[in-house]
Amino acid sequence: MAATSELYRGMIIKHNNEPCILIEKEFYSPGKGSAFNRCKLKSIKTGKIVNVVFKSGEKVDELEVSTRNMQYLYADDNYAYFMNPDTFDQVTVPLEDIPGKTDYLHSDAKYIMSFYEDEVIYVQLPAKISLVITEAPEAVKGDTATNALKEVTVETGLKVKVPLFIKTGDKIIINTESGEYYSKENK
Amino acid sequence: MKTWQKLKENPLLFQRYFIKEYIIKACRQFFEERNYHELESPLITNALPQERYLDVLTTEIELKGGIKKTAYLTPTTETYNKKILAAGLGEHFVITKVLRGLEEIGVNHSPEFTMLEWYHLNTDYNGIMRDTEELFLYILNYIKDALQKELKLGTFPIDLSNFNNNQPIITYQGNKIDLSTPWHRVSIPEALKNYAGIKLEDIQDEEAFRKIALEKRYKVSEEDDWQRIYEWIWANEIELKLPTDKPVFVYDFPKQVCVLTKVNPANPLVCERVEIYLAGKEIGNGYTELIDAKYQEARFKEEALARKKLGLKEIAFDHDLINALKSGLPNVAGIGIGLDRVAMVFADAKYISDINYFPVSEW
Repeated sequence: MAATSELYRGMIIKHNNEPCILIEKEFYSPGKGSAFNRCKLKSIKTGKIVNVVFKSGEKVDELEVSTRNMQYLYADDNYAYFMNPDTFDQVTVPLEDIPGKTDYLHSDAKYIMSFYEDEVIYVQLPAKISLVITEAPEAVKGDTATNALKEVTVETGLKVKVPLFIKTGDKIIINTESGEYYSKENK
Repeated sequence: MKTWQKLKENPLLFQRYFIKEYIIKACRQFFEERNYHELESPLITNALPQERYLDVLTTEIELKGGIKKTAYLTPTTETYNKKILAAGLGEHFVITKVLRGLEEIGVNHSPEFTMLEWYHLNTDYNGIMRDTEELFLYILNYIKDALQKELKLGTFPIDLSNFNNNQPIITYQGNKIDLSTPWHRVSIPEALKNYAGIKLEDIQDEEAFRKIALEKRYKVSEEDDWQRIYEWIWANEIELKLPTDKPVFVYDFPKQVCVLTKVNPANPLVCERVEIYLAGKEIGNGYTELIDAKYQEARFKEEALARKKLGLKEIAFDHDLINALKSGLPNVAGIGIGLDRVAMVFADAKYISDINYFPVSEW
C-alpha cells in the first residue's frame, strides 16, 4: 500500500480490482477546502481511462513493475519499435500510447519503459529533447530579430514556434511536455 | 534551471510574465474608473476568521522585552475588508499576495499567490457575477493594447496569435474560451442532482451523507466530515463536467461549507456564495457577505470546534471582526480572485510556476 503523497506517474495500482497505470496526477484543493489528488488512471486490460479523485492520506494498492532504459529504432504508421541496448530485445509500442506519438522519438534520446507482466505499459519521454530543424521560413524583411516568432518544422515532423534567428539545420532543445522551444543547442 | 536563466536563454517567455503584470494593472484601472478606493492589507496578523480546513501559515515575531507572539501570514483579506467597511470606507479593492499552507505544490497551487478582492455596496452575489464578467472583458482589452504597445517598443519578442481577433475569445491549452457575456450559471443543488444524482435535502444529516458516499464506493471514514465528503464528490463527479467553452459561475453553496456568507432567504439550505471556473480552474470565490454579528460568531465557534476535532492547529479568534460587525456593516457583496490562475489562462501557461518569476517549485 502506498500513501497518496507517494503517487507518481507511471505507477501501477489496483483500482476497483483492476490493474491500472497512473498517467496523470495533480494535487488539488478547493479554495479554503481540504486536500485531494486528482488522477487519471488507465486500465491495463481495457485501455479505458478514468478520472479518479483520491483524498489526501488515502491508501492505494501499488503493484510491482520493472523499468528499463530503451532505445528508439523506428516507427511505422501505427507502432514504434524500441530495443533494449543490453539484450537487443525489441519491443513494439502502439503510437497512441506514446505522448506526442512520433514527435519526440529520436534514436539519440533515452526512453524509460515500465513493464507489467512483460507487457510495456508506459513510455516515459525525456523531459527535453534536441532535434534538428528541417524547415524554417526565412525571416520576413522588416522584422527585427526580437519582434516575432516563426513556426519551424523539426526532423520528427513536429512544428515549433521559435525566435526569428533560428535557421534550418540548427539544433534546438524542446520541452517534451509543453512542446515549447526551450533554447538553441550550442554546437 | 531557474526561471531567470530560462528567460535569459529564451526571451520569448517574458510575455507570460508581462501578461500577469498587465492583469494586475488592468484590475487596478478597472476599479479606479469605478471610484473604488484601494485598501493596503497587512501580510501578518494576530487573529483570523475561523474556517475549518484553511491551512494557515504562521511565524513568530519578537516584540520589545523579548515577548514572542504568533503571527499568521494572511491567507485571505476578508477580515480587513469587513473592518474597513465598518469604518465607512465604502467600495474598495485589494491586490495583494496571500499565503496558504499546502501539502504539495501543484499545477494550479502555490503557497503564495496574488489575490484581487473587491467589495461592492448594496448588491448581492448576482451583482458580483456581473462585475466579474465586465472585469474580464476589460482585462482582455487591456492585455491586447499592452501587447501591441510592447511590440511597437520592440525590446522583447511578442506573440500576438492568441490576441489578434476582434472576438472576446482566448485559447487555453488548445481549447477556445468565449468570454462574452452572459457566462454560464450553474446552481450547486442542480449540479448535485444532475451530475451526482444527489438531492441536497437528502444529505443534510452527516451520517446519511456518509452512507450515500459509501454506496458510491468512496472510501469515507468517520474522520471525513460533511465538507470533506461534499468536496470529494464535487471533485470526482461534478467539477470536470462543468462546461469549459465559457467561464462558469457555480452558485448557492450548501450552508455547511459557508462560513462568512449570507444564507439565501429563498432556500435556507444554501448560502449566497459563488465560485468562478475559467478553463476548468476555480479562480474565484465570492459572497453576499454575512453581516449578522451574532450568526457570524456562532459559525466561527462551530468552525473552531471542527478544527479541534480534525486535529488542526488552533487559530486565534478574531473578536475584533465580530465587534466590527456589531457596529454595523452596509449590505455588501465581495469576492476574491486568484490572479495567478487568471494569468495562466490568459498567458496559455500550463503551470502556475510559469507565470511567477520566482516560483516556490524552484527552491
